[in-house]
Order: sequence, then C-alpha cells, then structure tokens
Amino acid sequence: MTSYVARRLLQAVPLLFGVLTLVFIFMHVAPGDPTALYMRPDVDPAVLEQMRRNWGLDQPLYIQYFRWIASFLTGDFGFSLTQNRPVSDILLERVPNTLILSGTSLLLIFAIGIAIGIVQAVRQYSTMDNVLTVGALFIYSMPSFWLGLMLILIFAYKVHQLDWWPEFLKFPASGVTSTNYDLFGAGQKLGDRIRHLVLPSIALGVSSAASVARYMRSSMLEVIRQDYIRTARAKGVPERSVILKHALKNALLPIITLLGLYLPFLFSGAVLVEYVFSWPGMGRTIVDAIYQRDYPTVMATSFIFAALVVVANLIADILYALVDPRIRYE
Amino acid sequence: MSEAVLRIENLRTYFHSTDGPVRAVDGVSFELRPGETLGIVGESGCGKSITCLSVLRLIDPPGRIEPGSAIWLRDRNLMNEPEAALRQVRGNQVSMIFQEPLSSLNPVWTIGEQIAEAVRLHRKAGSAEARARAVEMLRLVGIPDPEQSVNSYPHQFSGGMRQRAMIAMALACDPAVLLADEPTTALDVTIQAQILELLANLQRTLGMAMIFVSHDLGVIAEIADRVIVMYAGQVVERGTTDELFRDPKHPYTEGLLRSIPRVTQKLRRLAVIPGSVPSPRSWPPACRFHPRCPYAWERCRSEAPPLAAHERAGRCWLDSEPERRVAGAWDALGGREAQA
Repeated sequence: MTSYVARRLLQAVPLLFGVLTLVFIFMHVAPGDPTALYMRPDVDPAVLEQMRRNWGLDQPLYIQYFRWIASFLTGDFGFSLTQNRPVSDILLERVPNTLILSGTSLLLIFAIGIAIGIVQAVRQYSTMDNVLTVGALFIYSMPSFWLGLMLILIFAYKVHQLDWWPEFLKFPASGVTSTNYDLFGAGQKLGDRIRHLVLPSIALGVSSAASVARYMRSSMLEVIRQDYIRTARAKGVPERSVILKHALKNALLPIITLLGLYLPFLFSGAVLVEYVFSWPGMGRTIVDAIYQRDYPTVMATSFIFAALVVVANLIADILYALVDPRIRYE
Repeated sequence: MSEAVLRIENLRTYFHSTDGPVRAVDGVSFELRPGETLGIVGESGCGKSITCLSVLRLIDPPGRIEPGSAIWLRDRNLMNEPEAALRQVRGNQVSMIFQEPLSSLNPVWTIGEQIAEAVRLHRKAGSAEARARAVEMLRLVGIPDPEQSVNSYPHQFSGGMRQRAMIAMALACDPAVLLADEPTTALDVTIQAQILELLANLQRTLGMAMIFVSHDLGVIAEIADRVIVMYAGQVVERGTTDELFRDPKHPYTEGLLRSIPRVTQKLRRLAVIPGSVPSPRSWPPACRFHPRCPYAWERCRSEAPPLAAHERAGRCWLDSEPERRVAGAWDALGGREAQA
C-alpha cells in the first residue's frame, strides 16, 4: 500500500508541472501585466517601465519561466505583486478557509446524498421517491452562485422582517466570523464560525448532493436485487440491517469514485461561492489575482488547487481498497 | 407415519402484472417428514425455486402468495405469522442454500462474519461465541484451516468452498428444515459429488429434513428418499425415488428419464422432450403438459387431470386409461419434431 501511494504521488509530479506550465502560458498570453494597476495619467510611463524591470517582466518568457520554476522548486512561492507580502503568507491565511468550506460541503454532499439515495431506493416509485427525484433535479439545475444569492436574500435578509422567525435560523450573509468575534468565549467562537458556514456550504454543496443522491439511488437499486441480499433475508436478518449492512457497503463502492470526481468541481464552485459570500478563501484570492495579473499568486494558488485534486483522487482510491476487499494495490 | 415437519397445502404464488397474473406456483401441496430428503424435479421455469422461496415467505412484490395457501411448520401456519416471527424462522428453523454460491455470498463481508451473523441473531450469542461457532461450522463442512478461513472473503474461496461456506451458514443454527435450491448445479462434477456427500452426511448427523431442488435426475436419484415432479407450477407426480425411477406414471417424468444420456447407449440422438416449458403467463388449458405429450388425446385437451391424494400418484389421464400408453410414442414424436 505504501509503495502504491508513493508511486501515485510520483506520477502526480509531471501532472502538476503540466498544469503549472499551462497556467503560466495562459497568464502571460493574456493582455496586460501587473503594472496595469498603476496606469494613471499622473504616473510617468518611465516609472511603469522601471517596475517591469524590477519584477523581471522585461525578460524573455522562457527566462521568466525558468526563474519561476527554480524558485518554486526551492519552496519559494514568490512575492505578491499587489498585496506586497510573500505569497506563502497569503496561502497560509486563505487555504484553511477554503478547506473548511469545501470540507463541510463535501460532508454535506455525501451525508445528505447517500441518505436520500437510500430512502429513494428502498421506497422506489413511492410518492416520496417521486418528490425527491423532482426535487433533486430542480436543485441540481440551480447554479450555485444564484442559489447563494437567494439564500442570502431569504435567510440573511428577508427573515429579519418576520417576527416569528426563530433567531437561530437567521444566518450571516458574509465572512468567516462576526466583526465582534474577538470578544466571544471559546464556545461562542465555534458557534459563530458554524453559523457563518451554513449558507455558503449549502450553496456550494446542495447541487452535488442532489446528484450523489441520484447515483446512490441507482447503485442501491442495483445492489438490492443481488442474490446475497436474498441470502441475508433468508438468514433472518432484519430489513434494516439488510439495507444498512449488507446492501450499503456494496452500494457505496461506485459512490467513492465520485469523491475524487467532485472535489475539482467543488473547488471551481468555491471560486464563485466565496465571491458571493465574501469568504476569504483561495477562490476569491485567485480571481482577484487573475484580474490584477498578480502572477506569483495565481501560480501558487493554481498549484495548491491542482495538488488538492491529486490528493483527493488518491484518497478516493485508498478508500476504495478499504471498503472492497477484492481490490488489492500492489 | 411420523408427523410432518413441513406441510405445504395448495401453495399458489402469483406474480401480478398489468397483463394479468403470472401463476408461477399454482396449487402445490406436499409434506416433508423429519430426517427425510424430498427431491423436487422439473425443468427451468416449473416453479421449483419459487416454491422454496415461498416456504420462507421471501417473495417480493409484485409476487404474492395467494390467500388459501398454507405453509405448516409443525403446528404453525407461516401464512398467519407476522414478519418478525418469520425472521425468527428464517435461518433458524428453516434455512436455505442457493444455486450460485459466489453471488449468494456478500462480497464485502468475511465468510466468518456472514456465518456469525445468523448465530448472533438467532442464538442471542455474543460476538466471540458466534465467531467460535463460525469456526466450528467451517470445520464441520470440511473447510481447511477454519481458524484462518473465517477471516477470508468469498472471492478468496473456490466454487466448492463457497458452497461449503453457504452450507455452514445455513446450518449454523441447527435448522429443522434445509431448503437446497439447486446447490450443485453451478459446480463441476467432482465438486458436485463432494457437496452431495457432505449434505447427505450432515443430514444424517444433524437429523434435519431437506428439500433438494434439481433439474438433474441423476443427482436426485442419489440423494432423495421421495420425489415430487413439478411441471408448469403444479406437482405432476410423486412417489418414492425408487418407484418414480422404475415406473414413472406421468409422461413428463418419463420424458425426463428418457433424456438422461447413457454411456452404454450406442451413437443415437439424445432423446429430448419436444418443445419447452410454456410461459407461466398462459399455461395450456386442461392438462398443462398436453402440447408436449406423446400420448395426448381429446380428453387431455379438454379436461384437467387431478392429482390423487395417495403417496404415489400422477396427474395424468393415463391412470384411468392405461391402454393408451403405447410403446414407441416418444420416437414417433421425435420424428415429427425432426420433420418440422
């Protein structure tokens, strides 16, 4: 297993390099450069020229590329051209926020998706199954940024106009913490963070949860037709554990594959949702950095995204082996 | 005659679809006495497996055991028992083994866990005790190195070992009745013989009664004390194995016996029963076998023959008009088939 993981990580190296090279090329092919921010009538073009020289942007592209690769390999992500601080500082601040948001969403996606899928399969063609099918399709068709805006409109704004609406079902519209966060006790701090997570993680996860539910339903329906389910019933196993023990573990196998597939999807969704909810994560960072042509920040953030996707797929493959004894990694 | 451990009366299992009921099992009655082996023979689609599943009341919708059917397990009619009571019967008093040992075992749980589960459920045993029982059962069915094998997964076992594991699972709670639904069909011949011997031995030592379903008359001859022959959802003949093989009453049984290949037979075309089992959606009227029967005459097409209540009986009009059983009828039928 260890050698398998090591081999997979090694295989990821050329992949990551490919991703970074492409991002580098696209960024430099796009018109404009970081000095664009300073292009104002009162700034002498000679100053801009000097800035370009200082940042090495006057060099041929391949020299810039190799310089950047060289510093990257030594673990130096460079210096943000717009925020005037090391990119590694920015990442340390932003990466955890994105991981918390995506992690919560991922949990939500699979917990809710799997639960709904099971219910639908067990009650196939019932009213509940039909309602959930239509509901899932409806939710699946909604773009996350629009859903985010609607959630804000309803749960952070409209409900404040309703006297009877319970306080704990009103949620903050933006940010990771409240402005008076530092004054809170430890328990209150955790509660505050969770309350801020609710709307963005729902906006980010709910459509994927709907599609996981679709997959889970069909996977479960496939499994409960199998002979070994009949064997379990013939053994006198109660229906509940026929489903949750004998069927579930088998039905989860194809769902684990989705884990690896959904993470990149989740990250691209995070870019939009973080914007809508002013969530200071990597998604917002990379969008801002792209607009400002902040090359080092874009490169570093892309690298982190790509690395997370590689790791997520690896985790999915390892989980697969844990659930299915027939799979062995040599 | 000792009291029957299992008595089926007028079992009718229909599958209800929009174009009418599919009468898979249509009025089957038989009884099983303690310690005996009852063979059920018939081609595919005759209702043998559905009969077994019905005994455990494991018929899923749209299938339904029709009212009026009775499944007597000693003095309880399982038709009147609630689901919770049925669960106490399944795997405990009545167990079942299936045709395909690989697909019948759950691929993601260990063999040991799958055996121990039944013990925990029915014996209220702790996990250590249940596991010990699993090891004991694996040893009993002849799995080598049971202490290790108990942790194996089904895919690590060969076909014969999987069926042994299935048997261990079924017998873990000392059932009074074992339903064996073609347990040797998917195995190759040498393994088949081993499994048959194992089942026969276990039956003797554990004193259980067994229903052995097969389409293979050779296998039935080896293991069964009494046999019922099923055709088109009905019992068409019953008797002891001896009687049935020596002197079949029903032309269908006759046909089945004729189609066993014999080594001594010189190069001759293998005898077959022409045609195939009709669709359970529309059984032929009157005698259900008449379209394939070499002796059929007007009466067979207009009037359904009854099955006498005797120990030895055949559902055929030949019983009352034996002179119509003419020699050579089968060969003439074969010729007709060949010309067609």
